[in-house]
Amino acid sequence: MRLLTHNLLICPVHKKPLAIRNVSAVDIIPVEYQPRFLLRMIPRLDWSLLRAAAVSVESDCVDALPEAAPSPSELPALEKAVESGDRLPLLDALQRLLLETHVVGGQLHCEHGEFYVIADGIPNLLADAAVNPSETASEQAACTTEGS
Amino acid sequence: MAQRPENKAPPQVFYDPKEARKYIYHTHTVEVQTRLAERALELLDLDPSTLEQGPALILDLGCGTGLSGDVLSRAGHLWVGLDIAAAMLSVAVERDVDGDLIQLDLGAGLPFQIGCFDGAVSISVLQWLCHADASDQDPRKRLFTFFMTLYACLRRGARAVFQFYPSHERQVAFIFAQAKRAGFDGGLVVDYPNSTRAKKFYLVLQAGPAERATTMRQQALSPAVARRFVEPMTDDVSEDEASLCETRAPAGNTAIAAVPKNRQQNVSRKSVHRRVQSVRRLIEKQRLRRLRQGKPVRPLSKYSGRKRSSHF
Repeated sequence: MRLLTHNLLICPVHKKPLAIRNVSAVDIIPVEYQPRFLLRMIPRLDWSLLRAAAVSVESDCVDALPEAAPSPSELPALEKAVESGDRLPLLDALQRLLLETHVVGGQLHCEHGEFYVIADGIPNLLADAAVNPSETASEQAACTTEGS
Repeated sequence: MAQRPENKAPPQVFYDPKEARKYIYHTHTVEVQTRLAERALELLDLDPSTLEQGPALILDLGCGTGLSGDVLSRAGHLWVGLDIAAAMLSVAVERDVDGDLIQLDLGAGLPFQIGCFDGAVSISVLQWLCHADASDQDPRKRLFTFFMTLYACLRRGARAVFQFYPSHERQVAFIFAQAKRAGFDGGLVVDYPNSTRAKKFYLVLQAGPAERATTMRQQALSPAVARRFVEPMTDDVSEDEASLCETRAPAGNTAIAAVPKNRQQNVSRKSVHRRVQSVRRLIEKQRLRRLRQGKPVRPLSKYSGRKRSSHF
């Protein structure tokens, strides 16, 4: 799963962004440079989530990402720079993160506790595949009390 | 006629590893799927101003082994594929498709941010959503949730094209009612309406009014594929929809929409017959009761329960 898809994804139950944790494998597959597409995507991105994801996959592009998303007023200037053929460090970092970085193994955590597993690069968001640690803990507790 | 696959088992069960293999090795299946996806992409009619700014981001609903995704990749688009069947997705991983894959149940809704996709295609999936696989599943609710969340995650004016195999006309109306409730506008495109085998249904939906003027391309198709017509689904066809529902057959081929009319007549004749039957049954019951009570009755004849002709 690309980080772009991760950025657009929300928890199917609570409709909140999902955090990437316990990453076991990351793939980097170079693709064609798409500066215009990335510029078009910037307003649709959740910037803080992207930064958090970049940190969790231990990408080397974290430093190239600014703290905040480029404001709408900055976008025309960026567009001009792209049209004149400049390679901007910001867009290089976005290209690497959004389009080339694939999370192959890991977990997607919702802030409400449950998490979804990513295996073979496919996150499983089926309702019965969600793992809820608090529920399993309470179930285990119930089992132990029954046992005693 | 062979039993429809959606009547056999839920999709995550039906598409087992063996069934998924068909989507790599059966040349005919692959060919058909690819052709359907190409046509769906054509109907998607992506905004040319968006295309100037690089690839579009497209949802592939029920991507399966990614055959339709390959068509999108070849056209230079980025796509995200959703499917419920794990076996199909693992084949897609084996085939090393370009798009991202997510395993989820479409009927439970699409978990995406608002307005992030430029379009959606779906090949042979919608009919699966018309079935309840568990006692707590209501197809009406599932379809509505699906369409509502799809509407939310598409950009305004974006299109969604669904190729599907409806089992009967009422199913089309049922699906369209749910799409309309969720806010979609659109119509049904039927390719090759006069052929039983090649006949294909495409539901073309539009999420809100387009920001640009709709420029439905009217390119002529080769004579071999000329027999297409478009059936408007709504009663109140707005201008936007009218352009969406225009006949795409080249000039000169005006014999359109004759087939469904005939079928409708057949349906109405059948229902009239059924009504007469039920009236006859009622009269027969009353006749027997009066007979038991010893009251005078007329003998039953072939004219019982029939209406008098109008020119009496």
